[in-house]
Amino acid sequence: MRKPMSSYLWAVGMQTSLLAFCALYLPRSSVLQEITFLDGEEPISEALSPLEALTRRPTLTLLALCLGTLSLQTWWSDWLRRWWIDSIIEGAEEVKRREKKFLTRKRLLALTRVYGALILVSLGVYLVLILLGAPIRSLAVKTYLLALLISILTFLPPAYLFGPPSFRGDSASLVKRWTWVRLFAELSSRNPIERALVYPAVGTVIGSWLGIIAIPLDWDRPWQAWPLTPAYGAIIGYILSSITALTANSIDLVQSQNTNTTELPDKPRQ
Amino acid sequence: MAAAYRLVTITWIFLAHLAGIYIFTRGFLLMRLSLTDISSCGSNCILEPTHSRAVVLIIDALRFDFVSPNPPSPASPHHHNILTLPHKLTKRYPAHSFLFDSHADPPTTTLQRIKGLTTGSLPTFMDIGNNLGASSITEDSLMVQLQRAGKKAAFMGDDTWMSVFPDSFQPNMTYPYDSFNVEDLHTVDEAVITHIFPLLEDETKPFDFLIGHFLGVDHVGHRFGPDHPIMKDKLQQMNDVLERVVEKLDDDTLLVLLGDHGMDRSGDHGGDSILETSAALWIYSKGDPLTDIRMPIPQDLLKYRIFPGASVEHRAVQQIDLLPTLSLLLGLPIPFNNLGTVIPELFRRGDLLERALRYNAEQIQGFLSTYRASPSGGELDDSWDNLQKAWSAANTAAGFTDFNRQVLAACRTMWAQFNATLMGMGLVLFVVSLAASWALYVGLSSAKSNSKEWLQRNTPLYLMAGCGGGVAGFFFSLVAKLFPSILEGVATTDYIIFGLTFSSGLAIIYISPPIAGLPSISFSSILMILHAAAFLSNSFTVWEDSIIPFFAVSSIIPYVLKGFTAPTSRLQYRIVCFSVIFAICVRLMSISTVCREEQQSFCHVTFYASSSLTVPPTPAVVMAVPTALALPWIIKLYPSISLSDKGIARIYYPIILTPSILGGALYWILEWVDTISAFGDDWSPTIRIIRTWAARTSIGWALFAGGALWFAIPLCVNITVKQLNNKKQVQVIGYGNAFGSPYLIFWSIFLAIIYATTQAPGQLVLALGTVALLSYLEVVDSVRDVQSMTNAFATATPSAILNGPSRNAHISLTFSDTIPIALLAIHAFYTTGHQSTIPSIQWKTAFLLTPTVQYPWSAITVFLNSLGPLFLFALAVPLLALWNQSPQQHNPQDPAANVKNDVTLAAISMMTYYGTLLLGTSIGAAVLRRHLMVWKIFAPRFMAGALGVLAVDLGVLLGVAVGVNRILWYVQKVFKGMNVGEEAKKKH
Repeated sequence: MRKPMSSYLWAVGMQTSLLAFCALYLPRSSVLQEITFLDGEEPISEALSPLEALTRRPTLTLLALCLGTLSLQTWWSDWLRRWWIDSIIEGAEEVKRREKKFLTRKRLLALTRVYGALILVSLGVYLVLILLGAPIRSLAVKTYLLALLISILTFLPPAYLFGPPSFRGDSASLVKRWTWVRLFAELSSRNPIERALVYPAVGTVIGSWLGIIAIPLDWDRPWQAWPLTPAYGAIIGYILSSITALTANSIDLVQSQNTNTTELPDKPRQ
Repeated sequence: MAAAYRLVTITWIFLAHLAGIYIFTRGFLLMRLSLTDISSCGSNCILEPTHSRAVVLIIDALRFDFVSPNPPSPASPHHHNILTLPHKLTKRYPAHSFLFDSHADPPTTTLQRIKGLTTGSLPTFMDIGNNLGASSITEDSLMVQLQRAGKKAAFMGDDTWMSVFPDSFQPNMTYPYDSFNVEDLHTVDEAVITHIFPLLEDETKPFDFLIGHFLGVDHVGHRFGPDHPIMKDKLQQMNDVLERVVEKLDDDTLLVLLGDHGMDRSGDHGGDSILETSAALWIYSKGDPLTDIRMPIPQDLLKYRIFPGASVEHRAVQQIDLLPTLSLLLGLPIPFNNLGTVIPELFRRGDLLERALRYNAEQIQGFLSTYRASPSGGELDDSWDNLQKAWSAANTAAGFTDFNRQVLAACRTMWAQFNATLMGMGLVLFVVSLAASWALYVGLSSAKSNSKEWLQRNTPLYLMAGCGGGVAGFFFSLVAKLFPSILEGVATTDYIIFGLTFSSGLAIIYISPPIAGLPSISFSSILMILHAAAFLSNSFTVWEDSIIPFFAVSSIIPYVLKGFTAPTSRLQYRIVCFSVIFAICVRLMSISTVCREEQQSFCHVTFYASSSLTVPPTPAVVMAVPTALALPWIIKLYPSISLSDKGIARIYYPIILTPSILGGALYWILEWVDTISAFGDDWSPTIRIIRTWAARTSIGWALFAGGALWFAIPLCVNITVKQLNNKKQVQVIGYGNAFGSPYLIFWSIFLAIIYATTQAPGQLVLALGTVALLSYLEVVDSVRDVQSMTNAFATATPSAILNGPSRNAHISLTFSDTIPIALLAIHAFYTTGHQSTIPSIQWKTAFLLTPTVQYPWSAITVFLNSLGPLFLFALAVPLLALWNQSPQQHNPQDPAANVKNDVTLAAISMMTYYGTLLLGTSIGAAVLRRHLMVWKIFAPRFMAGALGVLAVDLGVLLGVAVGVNRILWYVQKVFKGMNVGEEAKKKH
């Protein structure tokens, strides 16, 4: 009846291919190419090679990446959240339905709060990028867009799932905080959903870290412009580690089916 | 005794580095003493000039086969038989036109070739002389002789000439153009063409000597390689230019066309392959014939060689032969340092040939005697007798030529050849010493509390193996003498040094296989490997100063993550906050930079007011005094966290460190005042006296007063004895950091000294670096606390944590704990206004202690300024092991056993890091010795790497031998037998 694994496979396949589309095609869309107020350049009427179109105006490319990944990650977070809810609620069919309804009630409000937190986090990532050596006085918009992109890829899904970490003293906040610490400081994931959150986040950070390496080379290529390589490194890292998480989850599933203990949580009906 | 073994271990690594550097450098770095004598001999060494003027055209990278009448077969359609004018004219006028295959001495780079062409000497990496920093030459040269004869020189083309001869050309006839833009194929050539013809056509004959240096062929080679249609167009253009020049030439002007070097198959150059060293040389006299074809010429004066792939041999000369030839043809004396021999064909008239060769040989003998009498004369030991025999035998043309060539060969072996055997031996030693230091680390860290026994057992073993290797090396050298051709230039001492180091290193590796430690490679170790691998790329080497802060901040990330997982919020807060302080300090430090030449257009100089004005920027001067006042206070804050700012710390920080740091700041403020002459020049001598004494007092006060105080009482605790219930209660405040706090005082003595040798912006950097260092120590300490709490929670009796540190609870130092400090050290080196280039040495600091250059003080201060940051942070490495560690109460025999082992581990880790960098730089330099940029990028980075590892080794050695040993001895003496169990206060 339900095919949880195949639907997870479908979702990851969808997400990674859309992400690749975002990275390779979206910045080249004709609407964006018309925009002239960023980077202060006139639009070029003659045909550009795909690479030229992607690298000619880094700010625009980054902006397109951010917009694309933002909508994609919102959808992905929602998908994950429904998977998560399915996995945690138990009981009879009727109870489940009610519980689920209760949990998915204020989605819009939750989303607004997550977007608010996203802006704060992206500012934090911006400061980290500065500490890591991003220029202070120049290229601020470009650096911020990179910070935003990284935050969208890493922070948005877990924040939507668990809620952004809060610093209140009540026990719910404490548990939430420790979940965040366990996932993103200890990097330990206990179930497939957590793995689908942690692996891509780590992959994104490693990818963008490695992306820096290409910048100092004296090849004088337009794609070496800040911050294209860390941005694309982040996306490549995300895609690869998302697939790694999928593989690890599949192996887990096969193993658990062999030992017949737990099952991969169901995927909600579309 | 154990302490001695630990020192032996560290000293062994130091000596192994030294041995490797010595042997590698002997094979790699070519040095020569440049003599400043000028040839002047009235009429006894000059000939009647045949031409009063000369036009020298240089086509950069014009390989011989580009102009050869018999190019290799199959001939390339893109570069053969295109520039045909030289061989056409040679065929038509054999008495006027001469075409040679000339051998350019490697390194075949333009700067070195220009020096070679004008001085007639062999190029080396460094000409030791008075002008170490500048590339301009003070030696006798063609340009000097032209000037002395009152001849006017014109110049157009490659601006490298301007850096070598900044004021030898007539300003109104000088047209230099940027040579760095390899992408630009035409600008320089077009400019030369634009400027040369008006000068040639000018009836007033404004110049006597003209140099035109074309760059297009070289740039096409670099960018497209020689087999590209653009090369054909370029050579065609050159041929057209030559035709026009020959047409405009008057009869009294000699035309010389040459390539300064060749190019390899892919169009690059710099190395010593035949394609790179074979350059074209064409000499053409439009007026009188230079050679009398009927006159006989001894055949053994003429050498021939076959260009690779060609079928016919061609007349071959040395490129430096042009210099004596040109000098005598123009009626000038041959420059003093020349080693070339006049080209016989051009003096084949009457008795000219023998006279020319006699003057030439006399000049070379004069040079040889002067060099022999110089401090570097010992280099000639091996060849001197044979050369003098040849000199006394020389009295014919053939004899003189023979003598000249023997001298050239002797000098070449002396200066201008990479010795692959020695380089290979050096590399082997680098690898062995690195593997051995890692093996020592693994052995000591796995021996843990038995490390004392481990050292006692193994140290004699590897030392004996070393002695055995030394003896074997000696015997091998005797055997090697039988095969001189294979192992040329390797001396007996090289074999012995190699044998000693190699076999003791192997013994260490055998005793403790380093493979065992490989699984512990962490993220930070990957940073180290990436850092060392970066030296295989010119871009990464050039941008190393930007990569390091990126790595340094990255290296703190694992600690931050650890901090989030800390079980108490206090530890969380401490770890995260101190990590952030570390990162902020590192980031602020990286604002300060002196850009190196290759970084231009992407880099903005902030260390000086501007790239052409080497005074400190005003904000740095304004902040100098506040920083100097704040720094000792901030340093003292850190031990005060553990209440260990007691004892001598109360006297030391306010009375010794503060005035000393302030004195250092004052010196550079006054230096700035002097450079902007704020009070006018009258005050200059007074200011000079004040600042000399400010520096002397600053350094003297820190070293002698601080050193004496520290040496007398290296302890920062308060001990109070109370009588309580008939029991004596001893309260020790500051016990928790009993080792770390006094070591910090020891360290800050050297901080003060190096602070004074550092220019104002660098002082801010050092202050930030100090804060970063101390914050990092707190981070490591807190993470260690987290670790021991986690360990305690994992045991059956978590409450054991309340019992204080026990034997098993000791958390040992890890290798990656040293890496942030290693990165901080090299970061401090770059941000205190240095680069891995020779011109970035801050010569200003030579005048710190004395108003004029005085040895050894000037040399010492320059060294302290350049290598001080590395030394300083290496000296700080024992702090990692000492910071917030209290003497162990349960082990009254040796309360510092754990600390001792950790100190050794930290020291070895630091040396391993820099040993890895040394290996990286030396492999980069050795593998890329044919690279275009070897003398600009890789060789200087190797030198910086070699000096850096030695500075680090010495820092570590001094720290362990003096700092740690003295403190441990004293602490042991004070606390031995004192029951401090319950009363000890350790403030967390």
